[in-house]
Amino acid sequence: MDTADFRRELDRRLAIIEDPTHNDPAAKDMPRGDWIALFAGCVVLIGAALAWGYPW
Amino acid sequence: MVKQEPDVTTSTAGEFTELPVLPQERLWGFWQFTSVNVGLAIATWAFLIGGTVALFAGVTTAIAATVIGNLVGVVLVAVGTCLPSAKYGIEQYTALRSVLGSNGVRTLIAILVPLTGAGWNAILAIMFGRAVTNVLNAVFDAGFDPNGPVVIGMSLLALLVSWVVLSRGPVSLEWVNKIVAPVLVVMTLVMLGVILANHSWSDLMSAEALAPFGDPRLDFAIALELSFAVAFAWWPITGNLARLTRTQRVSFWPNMIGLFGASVVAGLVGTFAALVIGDADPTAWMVPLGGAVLGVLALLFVAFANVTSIVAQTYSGGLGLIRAGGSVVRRIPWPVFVALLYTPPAIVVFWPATFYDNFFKFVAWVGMAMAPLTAVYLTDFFLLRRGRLVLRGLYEPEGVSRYSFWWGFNPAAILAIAAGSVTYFLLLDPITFESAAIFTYTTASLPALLVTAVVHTVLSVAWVRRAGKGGYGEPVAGNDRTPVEEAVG
Repeated sequence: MDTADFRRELDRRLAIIEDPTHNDPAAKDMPRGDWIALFAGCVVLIGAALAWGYPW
Repeated sequence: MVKQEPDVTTSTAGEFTELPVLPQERLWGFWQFTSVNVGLAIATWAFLIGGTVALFAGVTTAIAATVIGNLVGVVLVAVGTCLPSAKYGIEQYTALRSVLGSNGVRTLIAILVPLTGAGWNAILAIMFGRAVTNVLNAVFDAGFDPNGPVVIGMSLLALLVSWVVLSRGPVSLEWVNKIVAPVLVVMTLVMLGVILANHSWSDLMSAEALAPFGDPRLDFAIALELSFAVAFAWWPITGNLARLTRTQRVSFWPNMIGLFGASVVAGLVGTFAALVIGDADPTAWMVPLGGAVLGVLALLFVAFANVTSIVAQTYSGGLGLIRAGGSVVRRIPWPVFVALLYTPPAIVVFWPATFYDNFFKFVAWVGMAMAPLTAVYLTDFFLLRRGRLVLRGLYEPEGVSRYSFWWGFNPAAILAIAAGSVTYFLLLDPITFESAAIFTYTTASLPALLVTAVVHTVLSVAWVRRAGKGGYGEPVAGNDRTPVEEAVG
Protein backbone atom coordinates (compact mmCIF):
# COMPACT_ATOMS: atom_id res chain seq x y z
CA MET A 1 0.00 0.00 0.00
CA ASP A 2 1.57 3.28 -1.02
CA THR A 3 1.25 6.49 0.96
CA ALA A 4 -1.82 7.73 -0.93
CA ASP A 5 -3.65 4.43 -0.41
CA PHE A 6 -2.70 4.44 3.25
CA ARG A 7 -3.94 8.00 3.74
CA ARG A 8 -7.23 7.21 1.95
CA GLU A 9 -7.81 4.11 4.08
CA LEU A 10 -6.87 5.99 7.26
CA ASP A 11 -9.34 8.78 6.44
CA ARG A 12 -12.08 6.23 5.77
CA ARG A 13 -11.48 4.54 9.12
CA LEU A 14 -11.25 7.80 11.07
CA ALA A 15 -14.49 8.98 9.49
CA ILE A 16 -16.21 5.79 10.67
CA ILE A 17 -14.75 6.04 14.17
CA GLU A 18 -15.54 9.76 14.51
CA ASP A 19 -19.15 9.23 13.45
CA PRO A 20 -21.26 9.91 16.60
CA THR A 21 -23.36 6.82 15.87
CA HIS A 22 -20.30 4.57 15.76
CA ASN A 23 -20.36 2.05 18.58
CA ASP A 24 -17.28 0.03 19.53
CA PRO A 25 -17.63 -2.06 22.73
CA ALA A 26 -13.86 -1.78 23.23
CA ALA A 27 -14.21 1.96 23.83
CA LYS A 28 -15.95 1.24 27.14
CA ASP A 29 -13.46 1.37 30.01
CA MET A 30 -12.83 -1.69 32.16
CA PRO A 31 -15.51 -1.84 34.90
CA ARG A 32 -14.65 -0.61 38.39
CA GLY A 33 -15.30 -4.09 39.77
CA ASP A 34 -12.46 -5.46 37.67
CA TRP A 35 -10.07 -2.89 39.10
CA ILE A 36 -11.15 -3.73 42.65
CA ALA A 37 -10.74 -7.47 41.98
CA LEU A 38 -7.33 -6.86 40.45
CA PHE A 39 -6.14 -4.74 43.35
CA ALA A 40 -7.49 -7.15 45.97
CA GLY A 41 -6.03 -10.16 44.15
CA CYS A 42 -2.60 -8.53 43.93
CA VAL A 43 -2.60 -7.57 47.62
CA VAL A 44 -3.60 -11.09 48.70
CA LEU A 45 -1.15 -12.88 46.40
CA ILE A 46 1.80 -10.60 47.16
CA GLY A 47 1.05 -10.70 50.88
CA ALA A 48 0.84 -14.49 50.90
CA ALA A 49 4.02 -14.88 48.84
CA LEU A 50 5.94 -12.49 51.12
CA ALA A 51 4.63 -14.12 54.29
CA TRP A 52 5.57 -17.58 53.05
CA GLY A 53 8.70 -17.04 51.00
CA TYR A 54 10.50 -13.86 52.15
CA PRO A 55 13.59 -14.63 54.25
CA TRP A 56 12.37 -12.65 57.26
CA MET B 1 -5.88 -2.44 -1.44
CA VAL B 2 -5.77 -2.63 2.30
CA LYS B 3 -6.27 -5.96 3.98
CA GLN B 4 -9.68 -5.87 5.60
CA GLU B 5 -9.18 -9.06 7.58
CA PRO B 6 -5.87 -9.33 9.43
CA ASP B 7 -4.16 -12.70 9.33
CA VAL B 8 -3.85 -14.04 12.88
CA THR B 9 -0.54 -15.70 12.20
CA THR B 10 0.99 -12.56 10.79
CA SER B 11 -0.88 -10.00 12.86
CA THR B 12 1.98 -7.55 12.62
CA ALA B 13 2.19 -7.90 8.87
CA GLY B 14 1.92 -5.03 6.46
CA GLU B 15 0.62 -1.55 6.84
CA PHE B 16 -2.62 -2.81 8.38
CA THR B 17 -0.91 -2.63 11.76
CA GLU B 18 -0.58 1.12 11.64
CA LEU B 19 -4.27 1.72 11.00
CA PRO B 20 -6.90 1.80 13.75
CA VAL B 21 -8.98 -1.40 13.69
CA LEU B 22 -12.74 -1.34 13.35
CA PRO B 23 -15.03 -3.46 15.59
CA GLN B 24 -15.57 -6.18 12.96
CA GLU B 25 -11.78 -6.60 12.65
CA ARG B 26 -11.28 -7.32 16.32
CA LEU B 27 -10.61 -11.05 16.16
CA TRP B 28 -10.03 -12.19 19.70
CA GLY B 29 -12.45 -12.99 22.48
CA PHE B 30 -11.32 -14.05 25.96
CA TRP B 31 -10.20 -17.62 25.23
CA GLN B 32 -8.59 -16.82 21.89
CA PHE B 33 -6.47 -14.07 23.46
CA THR B 34 -5.72 -16.37 26.39
CA SER B 35 -4.44 -18.99 23.95
CA VAL B 36 -2.21 -16.40 22.27
CA ASN B 37 -0.86 -15.34 25.66
CA VAL B 38 -0.14 -18.88 26.83
CA GLY B 39 1.59 -19.57 23.50
CA LEU B 40 3.83 -16.56 24.05
CA ALA B 41 4.60 -17.40 27.66
CA ILE B 42 5.47 -21.08 27.19
CA ALA B 43 8.65 -20.64 25.17
CA THR B 44 12.09 -22.10 25.75
CA TRP B 45 13.30 -18.86 27.33
CA ALA B 46 10.88 -19.54 30.24
CA PHE B 47 13.09 -22.51 31.20
CA LEU B 48 16.18 -20.38 30.85
CA ILE B 49 14.71 -17.72 33.14
CA GLY B 50 13.70 -20.37 35.68
CA GLY B 51 17.22 -21.81 35.59
CA THR B 52 18.67 -18.33 36.09
CA VAL B 53 16.50 -17.73 39.17
CA ALA B 54 17.87 -21.02 40.57
CA LEU B 55 21.34 -19.47 40.56
CA PHE B 56 20.25 -17.20 43.41
CA ALA B 57 17.22 -18.83 45.03
CA GLY B 58 16.08 -22.11 46.51
CA VAL B 59 12.52 -23.34 45.99
CA THR B 60 10.75 -21.21 48.62
CA THR B 61 12.46 -17.97 47.67
CA ALA B 62 12.08 -18.73 43.96
CA ILE B 63 8.32 -19.33 44.21
CA ALA B 64 7.72 -16.14 46.21
CA ALA B 65 9.97 -13.96 44.06
CA THR B 66 8.75 -15.40 40.76
CA VAL B 67 5.09 -14.92 41.72
CA ILE B 68 5.53 -11.35 43.02
CA GLY B 69 7.87 -10.16 40.25
CA ASN B 70 5.79 -11.55 37.41
CA LEU B 71 2.52 -10.39 38.98
CA VAL B 72 3.61 -6.79 39.47
CA GLY B 73 5.40 -6.60 36.12
CA VAL B 74 2.65 -8.18 34.05
CA VAL B 75 -0.10 -6.11 35.71
CA LEU B 76 1.76 -2.85 35.03
CA VAL B 77 2.65 -3.83 31.47
CA ALA B 78 -0.85 -5.11 30.64
CA VAL B 79 -2.63 -2.11 32.15
CA GLY B 80 -0.21 0.30 30.52
CA THR B 81 -0.18 -1.14 27.02
CA CYS B 82 -3.23 -3.36 26.50
CA LEU B 83 -5.97 -1.03 27.73
CA PRO B 84 -5.02 1.97 25.52
CA SER B 85 -4.42 -0.24 22.47
CA ALA B 86 -7.71 -2.10 22.94
CA LYS B 87 -9.64 1.10 23.61
CA TYR B 88 -8.53 2.84 20.44
CA GLY B 89 -7.68 -0.20 18.29
CA ILE B 90 -4.13 1.00 17.66
CA GLU B 91 -0.60 -0.34 18.00
CA GLN B 92 1.15 0.89 21.13
CA TYR B 93 3.83 2.54 18.98
CA THR B 94 1.10 4.63 17.36
CA ALA B 95 -0.25 5.62 20.80
CA LEU B 96 3.29 6.32 21.99
CA ARG B 97 3.50 9.28 19.60
CA SER B 98 1.50 11.11 22.28
CA VAL B 99 4.23 10.29 24.81
CA LEU B 100 7.57 10.42 22.97
CA GLY B 101 6.65 12.41 19.87
CA SER B 102 6.63 11.00 16.32
CA ASN B 103 10.41 11.06 15.90
CA GLY B 104 10.85 9.89 19.47
CA VAL B 105 8.94 6.71 18.65
CA ARG B 106 10.99 6.19 15.48
CA THR B 107 14.18 6.56 17.48
CA LEU B 108 12.92 4.18 20.18
CA ILE B 109 12.14 1.49 17.60
CA ALA B 110 15.45 2.05 15.82
CA ILE B 111 17.32 1.46 19.09
CA LEU B 112 15.09 -1.08 20.82
CA VAL B 113 14.47 -3.56 18.00
CA PRO B 114 18.09 -4.18 16.90
CA LEU B 115 19.45 -4.30 20.45
CA THR B 116 16.83 -6.52 22.07
CA GLY B 117 16.58 -8.61 18.89
CA ALA B 118 20.33 -9.17 18.87
CA GLY B 119 20.31 -10.13 22.55
CA TRP B 120 17.38 -12.56 22.48
CA ASN B 121 18.39 -14.04 19.11
CA ALA B 122 21.94 -14.66 20.32
CA ILE B 123 20.65 -16.33 23.49
CA LEU B 124 18.24 -18.55 21.53
CA ALA B 125 20.87 -19.40 18.90
CA ILE B 126 23.42 -20.41 21.55
CA MET B 127 20.70 -22.46 23.28
CA PHE B 128 20.12 -24.19 19.92
CA GLY B 129 23.88 -24.79 19.66
CA ARG B 130 24.06 -26.21 23.18
CA ALA B 131 21.00 -28.42 22.57
CA VAL B 132 22.43 -29.93 19.37
CA THR B 133 25.85 -30.37 20.98
CA ASN B 134 24.27 -32.18 23.93
CA VAL B 135 22.42 -34.44 21.48
CA LEU B 136 25.73 -35.28 19.78
CA ASN B 137 27.32 -35.92 23.16
CA ALA B 138 24.43 -38.13 24.30
CA VAL B 139 24.15 -40.14 21.07
CA PHE B 140 27.80 -40.43 20.03
CA ASP B 141 29.45 -39.89 23.40
CA ALA B 142 31.35 -37.12 21.62
CA GLY B 143 32.43 -35.04 24.61
CA PHE B 144 32.14 -31.69 22.81
CA ASP B 145 32.90 -28.60 24.89
CA PRO B 146 29.68 -26.64 25.80
CA ASN B 147 31.52 -23.44 24.81
CA GLY B 148 33.58 -24.86 21.98
CA PRO B 149 33.58 -24.50 18.21
CA VAL B 150 30.75 -27.01 17.73
CA VAL B 151 28.40 -24.85 19.80
CA ILE B 152 29.50 -21.74 17.89
CA GLY B 153 29.01 -23.51 14.56
CA MET B 154 25.56 -24.79 15.56
CA SER B 155 24.57 -21.33 16.85
CA LEU B 156 25.51 -19.86 13.45
CA LEU B 157 23.55 -22.68 11.81
CA ALA B 158 20.47 -21.68 13.85
CA LEU B 159 20.76 -18.11 12.56
CA LEU B 160 21.37 -19.31 9.00
CA VAL B 161 18.30 -21.58 9.07
CA SER B 162 16.26 -18.72 10.56
CA TRP B 163 17.46 -16.42 7.78
CA VAL B 164 16.52 -18.96 5.09
CA VAL B 165 13.07 -19.45 6.59
CA LEU B 166 12.37 -15.76 7.12
CA SER B 167 13.72 -14.76 3.70
CA ARG B 168 10.92 -16.84 2.19
CA GLY B 169 8.24 -15.24 4.34
CA PRO B 170 6.79 -15.55 7.82
CA VAL B 171 5.40 -19.08 7.33
CA SER B 172 7.01 -20.40 10.50
CA LEU B 173 5.02 -18.01 12.68
CA GLU B 174 2.07 -20.36 12.34
CA TRP B 175 4.12 -23.18 13.86
CA VAL B 176 4.57 -21.29 17.08
CA ASN B 177 0.93 -21.33 18.15
CA LYS B 178 -0.10 -24.54 16.39
CA ILE B 179 2.79 -26.88 17.16
CA VAL B 180 5.54 -25.42 19.30
CA ALA B 181 3.48 -23.97 22.16
CA PRO B 182 1.28 -27.07 22.74
CA VAL B 183 4.31 -29.39 22.68
CA LEU B 184 6.16 -27.11 25.09
CA VAL B 185 3.13 -27.18 27.43
CA VAL B 186 3.28 -31.00 27.38
CA MET B 187 7.06 -30.95 27.86
CA THR B 188 6.69 -28.62 30.86
CA LEU B 189 4.11 -30.89 32.50
CA VAL B 190 6.20 -34.02 31.79
CA MET B 191 9.27 -32.34 33.29
CA LEU B 192 7.26 -31.39 36.39
CA GLY B 193 5.91 -34.95 36.66
CA VAL B 194 9.38 -36.49 36.34
CA ILE B 195 10.86 -34.11 38.91
CA LEU B 196 8.08 -34.72 41.44
CA ALA B 197 8.17 -38.48 40.82
CA ASN B 198 11.88 -38.69 41.56
CA HIS B 199 12.22 -36.06 44.28
CA SER B 200 10.07 -35.56 47.36
CA TRP B 201 8.78 -32.08 48.15
CA SER B 202 11.09 -31.93 51.17
CA ASP B 203 14.05 -32.79 48.87
CA LEU B 204 13.07 -29.91 46.61
CA MET B 205 12.61 -27.50 49.51
CA SER B 206 16.06 -28.32 50.84
CA ALA B 207 17.82 -27.90 47.48
CA GLU B 208 20.40 -25.12 47.67
CA ALA B 209 20.62 -22.26 45.18
CA LEU B 210 23.37 -22.86 42.61
CA ALA B 211 25.43 -19.66 43.00
CA PRO B 212 23.87 -17.43 45.66
CA PHE B 213 25.41 -14.23 47.01
CA GLY B 214 24.99 -15.68 50.49
CA ASP B 215 22.76 -12.96 51.97
CA PRO B 216 19.21 -14.45 51.82
CA ARG B 217 17.55 -11.04 51.48
CA LEU B 218 19.88 -9.98 48.69
CA ASP B 219 19.29 -13.29 46.91
CA PHE B 220 15.53 -12.75 47.25
CA ALA B 221 15.86 -9.21 45.86
CA ILE B 222 17.92 -10.46 42.90
CA ALA B 223 15.41 -13.22 42.12
CA LEU B 224 12.60 -10.65 42.43
CA GLU B 225 14.43 -8.18 40.19
CA LEU B 226 14.98 -10.82 37.50
CA SER B 227 11.27 -11.69 37.66
CA PHE B 228 10.31 -8.01 37.32
CA ALA B 229 12.61 -7.69 34.34
CA VAL B 230 11.27 -10.71 32.45
CA ALA B 231 7.72 -9.44 33.00
CA PHE B 232 8.64 -5.93 31.78
CA ALA B 233 10.27 -7.59 28.77
CA TRP B 234 6.75 -8.18 27.37
CA TRP B 235 6.27 -4.41 27.02
CA PRO B 236 7.27 -4.07 23.32
CA ILE B 237 4.61 -6.49 22.05
CA THR B 238 1.59 -6.68 24.35
CA GLY B 239 -0.27 -3.59 23.14
CA ASN B 240 0.18 -4.54 19.51
CA LEU B 241 -1.66 -7.80 20.17
CA ALA B 242 -4.35 -6.34 22.46
CA ARG B 243 -5.65 -4.01 19.73
CA LEU B 244 -7.31 -7.07 18.16
CA THR B 245 -9.38 -7.88 21.29
CA ARG B 246 -13.08 -7.05 21.45
CA THR B 247 -13.26 -5.29 24.83
CA GLN B 248 -10.84 -3.81 27.33
CA ARG B 249 -11.65 -6.58 29.83
CA VAL B 250 -10.69 -9.16 27.21
CA SER B 251 -7.51 -7.24 26.47
CA PHE B 252 -6.42 -7.41 30.11
CA TRP B 253 -7.39 -10.59 31.98
CA PRO B 254 -5.90 -13.17 29.55
CA ASN B 255 -2.50 -11.66 30.34
CA MET B 256 -2.97 -12.84 33.92
CA ILE B 257 -3.51 -16.42 32.74
CA GLY B 258 -0.83 -16.46 30.03
CA LEU B 259 1.96 -13.98 30.63
CA PHE B 260 1.62 -14.30 34.41
CA GLY B 261 0.25 -17.78 35.19
CA ALA B 262 1.85 -19.81 32.41
CA SER B 263 5.17 -17.95 32.70
CA VAL B 264 5.30 -18.59 36.44
CA VAL B 265 4.54 -22.31 36.02
CA ALA B 266 7.08 -22.80 33.20
CA GLY B 267 9.70 -20.70 34.98
CA LEU B 268 9.30 -22.57 38.26
CA VAL B 269 9.50 -25.95 36.52
CA GLY B 270 12.78 -24.65 35.11
CA THR B 271 13.90 -23.58 38.58
CA PHE B 272 13.05 -26.99 40.06
CA ALA B 273 14.91 -28.77 37.24
CA ALA B 274 17.97 -26.56 37.66
CA LEU B 275 18.01 -27.13 41.43
CA VAL B 276 17.71 -30.93 41.29
CA ILE B 277 20.19 -31.33 38.41
CA GLY B 278 22.55 -28.62 39.60
CA ASP B 279 22.84 -26.77 36.28
CA ALA B 280 21.09 -23.55 35.19
CA ASP B 281 21.29 -24.45 31.48
CA PRO B 282 18.01 -26.04 30.24
CA THR B 283 19.88 -28.00 27.56
CA ALA B 284 21.67 -29.89 30.36
CA TRP B 285 18.39 -31.08 31.94
CA MET B 286 16.67 -33.09 29.24
CA VAL B 287 18.83 -36.23 29.12
CA PRO B 288 19.12 -36.59 32.94
CA LEU B 289 15.37 -36.03 33.32
CA GLY B 290 14.01 -37.97 30.35
CA GLY B 291 16.70 -40.57 29.68
CA ALA B 292 18.65 -40.87 26.44
CA VAL B 293 15.76 -41.30 23.97
CA LEU B 294 13.21 -38.86 25.43
CA GLY B 295 15.98 -36.46 26.39
CA VAL B 296 17.42 -36.34 22.87
CA LEU B 297 13.94 -35.86 21.39
CA ALA B 298 13.28 -33.06 23.85
CA LEU B 299 16.60 -31.39 22.99
CA LEU B 300 15.89 -31.60 19.27
CA PHE B 301 12.50 -30.04 19.89
CA VAL B 302 14.06 -27.26 21.98
CA ALA B 303 16.40 -26.56 19.07
CA PHE B 304 13.47 -26.45 16.62
CA ALA B 305 11.40 -24.26 18.97
CA ASN B 306 14.27 -21.80 19.26
CA VAL B 307 14.45 -21.36 15.50
CA THR B 308 10.71 -20.58 15.35
CA SER B 309 11.13 -18.06 18.20
CA ILE B 310 14.07 -16.39 16.43
CA VAL B 311 12.07 -16.13 13.21
CA ALA B 312 8.90 -14.86 14.93
CA GLN B 313 10.54 -12.10 16.91
CA THR B 314 12.80 -11.01 14.05
CA TYR B 315 9.81 -10.77 11.72
CA SER B 316 7.81 -8.71 14.20
CA GLY B 317 10.73 -6.43 15.06
CA GLY B 318 11.77 -6.12 11.43
CA LEU B 319 8.37 -4.84 10.38
CA GLY B 320 8.52 -2.27 13.16
CA LEU B 321 11.91 -1.11 11.91
CA ILE B 322 10.67 -0.85 8.35
CA ARG B 323 7.72 1.30 9.40
CA ALA B 324 9.98 3.48 11.55
CA GLY B 325 12.72 3.73 8.95
CA GLY B 326 10.43 4.72 6.10
CA SER B 327 11.45 4.76 2.46
CA VAL B 328 15.20 4.37 3.11
CA VAL B 329 14.73 1.02 4.85
CA ARG B 330 11.96 -0.07 2.46
CA ARG B 331 14.44 0.11 -0.45
CA ILE B 332 16.60 -2.65 1.12
CA PRO B 333 15.65 -6.07 -0.29
CA TRP B 334 13.92 -8.19 2.36
CA PRO B 335 16.56 -11.02 2.44
CA VAL B 336 19.35 -8.44 2.83
CA PHE B 337 17.40 -6.62 5.54
CA VAL B 338 16.88 -9.89 7.46
CA ALA B 339 20.58 -10.71 7.07
CA LEU B 340 21.45 -7.31 8.56
CA LEU B 341 19.21 -8.05 11.55
CA TYR B 342 20.95 -11.39 12.08
CA THR B 343 24.46 -9.96 11.83
CA PRO B 344 24.83 -8.67 15.44
CA PRO B 345 23.74 -11.99 17.05
CA ALA B 346 25.98 -13.84 14.58
CA ILE B 347 28.91 -11.92 16.05
CA VAL B 348 27.81 -12.38 19.67
CA VAL B 349 27.53 -16.20 19.42
CA PHE B 350 31.32 -16.43 19.05
CA TRP B 351 31.43 -15.90 22.84
CA PRO B 352 28.81 -18.41 24.06
CA ALA B 353 30.02 -18.60 27.65
CA THR B 354 30.31 -14.83 28.05
CA PHE B 355 26.78 -14.20 26.84
CA TYR B 356 24.68 -17.32 27.51
CA ASP B 357 26.11 -18.03 30.94
CA ASN B 358 25.61 -14.37 31.89
CA PHE B 359 21.99 -14.37 30.81
CA PHE B 360 20.98 -12.75 34.12
CA LYS B 361 23.02 -9.66 33.20
CA PHE B 362 21.20 -9.40 29.88
CA VAL B 363 17.89 -9.67 31.76
CA ALA B 364 19.00 -6.80 34.02
CA TRP B 365 19.75 -4.66 30.94
CA VAL B 366 16.25 -5.44 29.67
CA GLY B 367 14.80 -4.36 33.03
CA MET B 368 16.81 -1.15 32.98
CA ALA B 369 15.26 -0.23 29.62
CA MET B 370 11.73 -1.57 30.02
CA ALA B 371 10.82 -0.46 33.55
CA PRO B 372 11.16 3.27 32.68
CA LEU B 373 9.33 2.76 29.36
CA THR B 374 6.47 1.07 31.20
CA ALA B 375 6.33 3.91 33.73
CA VAL B 376 6.41 6.78 31.24
CA TYR B 377 3.58 5.36 29.13
CA LEU B 378 1.44 4.50 32.18
CA THR B 379 1.92 7.96 33.70
CA ASP B 380 1.28 9.81 30.48
CA PHE B 381 -1.86 7.95 29.47
CA PHE B 382 -3.59 7.39 32.81
CA LEU B 383 -2.40 10.33 34.92
CA LEU B 384 -1.64 13.20 32.53
CA ARG B 385 -4.25 12.39 29.84
CA ARG B 386 -6.83 10.71 32.10
CA GLY B 387 -7.02 7.75 29.74
CA ARG B 388 -8.12 9.85 26.77
CA LEU B 389 -6.51 10.27 23.35
CA VAL B 390 -7.71 11.99 20.19
CA LEU B 391 -7.21 9.35 17.54
CA ARG B 392 -6.83 11.69 14.56
CA GLY B 393 -4.05 13.58 16.34
CA LEU B 394 -1.93 10.44 16.48
CA TYR B 395 -1.84 10.30 12.68
CA GLU B 396 -1.42 13.99 11.90
CA PRO B 397 2.07 15.29 11.10
CA GLU B 398 4.31 17.13 13.54
CA GLY B 399 3.25 20.76 13.78
CA VAL B 400 -0.36 19.97 12.89
CA SER B 401 -1.10 17.29 15.47
CA ARG B 402 -2.03 18.22 19.03
CA TYR B 403 0.65 15.67 19.96
CA SER B 404 3.43 17.85 18.53
CA PHE B 405 6.51 18.56 20.64
CA TRP B 406 9.92 19.87 19.59
CA TRP B 407 11.10 18.45 16.24
CA GLY B 408 9.03 15.35 16.96
CA PHE B 409 10.67 14.64 20.31
CA ASN B 410 9.18 15.04 23.78
CA PRO B 411 12.17 15.94 25.96
CA ALA B 412 10.18 15.45 29.18
CA ALA B 413 9.55 11.78 28.41
CA ILE B 414 13.11 11.23 27.22
CA LEU B 415 14.60 12.83 30.35
CA ALA B 416 12.23 10.83 32.55
CA ILE B 417 13.26 7.55 30.89
CA ALA B 418 16.91 8.52 31.27
CA ALA B 419 16.38 9.37 34.97
CA GLY B 420 14.67 6.01 35.51
CA SER B 421 17.47 4.11 33.80
CA VAL B 422 20.15 5.94 35.78
CA THR B 423 18.27 5.16 38.99
CA TYR B 424 18.22 1.50 38.01
CA PHE B 425 21.93 1.58 37.20
CA LEU B 426 22.80 3.16 40.53
CA LEU B 427 20.90 0.46 42.40
CA LEU B 428 21.94 -2.55 40.31
CA ASP B 429 24.84 -2.37 37.87
CA PRO B 430 23.96 -4.73 35.00
CA ILE B 431 27.61 -4.95 33.94
CA THR B 432 29.11 -6.12 37.24
CA PHE B 433 25.85 -7.11 38.96
CA GLU B 434 26.98 -5.16 42.02
CA SER B 435 24.13 -3.58 43.95
CA ALA B 436 23.67 -0.67 46.34
CA ALA B 437 22.90 -1.50 49.97
CA ILE B 438 19.33 -0.27 49.63
CA PHE B 439 18.70 -2.57 46.64
CA THR B 440 18.02 -5.43 49.06
CA TYR B 441 14.88 -3.61 50.21
CA THR B 442 13.79 -1.65 47.15
CA THR B 443 14.97 -3.68 44.12
CA ALA B 444 16.01 -1.58 41.09
CA SER B 445 12.89 -1.68 38.91
CA LEU B 446 10.46 -0.24 41.46
CA PRO B 447 12.51 2.92 42.21
CA ALA B 448 13.19 3.28 38.47
CA LEU B 449 9.43 3.17 37.83
CA LEU B 450 8.78 5.74 40.54
CA VAL B 451 11.52 8.16 39.46
CA THR B 452 10.42 7.97 35.82
CA ALA B 453 6.79 8.66 36.75
CA VAL B 454 7.63 11.62 39.00
CA VAL B 455 10.10 13.22 36.56
CA HIS B 456 7.72 12.82 33.61
CA THR B 457 4.80 14.28 35.55
CA VAL B 458 6.73 17.27 36.90
CA LEU B 459 8.39 18.12 33.56
CA SER B 460 5.18 17.67 31.59
CA VAL B 461 3.13 19.90 33.88
CA ALA B 462 5.80 22.54 34.54
CA TRP B 463 7.38 22.71 31.10
CA VAL B 464 5.67 20.91 28.20
CA ARG B 465 2.12 21.89 29.08
CA ARG B 466 3.10 25.53 29.73
CA ALA B 467 4.84 25.62 26.37
CA GLY B 468 1.58 24.58 24.73
CA LYS B 469 3.07 21.34 23.44
CA GLY B 470 1.83 17.76 23.47
CA GLY B 471 -1.86 18.57 23.79
CA TYR B 472 -1.76 18.32 27.57
CA GLY B 473 -3.59 21.59 28.00
CA GLU B 474 -6.18 21.00 25.29
CA PRO B 475 -9.62 19.88 26.41
CA VAL B 476 -10.67 16.45 25.24
CA ALA B 477 -13.69 15.88 27.45
CA GLY B 478 -16.89 17.52 28.64
CA ASN B 479 -18.42 20.35 26.60
CA ASP B 480 -15.30 20.75 24.49
CA ARG B 481 -15.20 17.09 23.54
CA THR B 482 -14.38 16.51 19.92
CA PRO B 483 -16.35 14.08 17.76
CA VAL B 484 -13.51 11.58 18.12
CA GLU B 485 -13.87 11.65 21.87
CA GLU B 486 -17.62 11.21 21.67
CA ALA B 487 -17.12 8.24 19.43
CA VAL B 488 -14.35 6.32 21.11
CA GLY B 489 -13.66 7.97 24.43
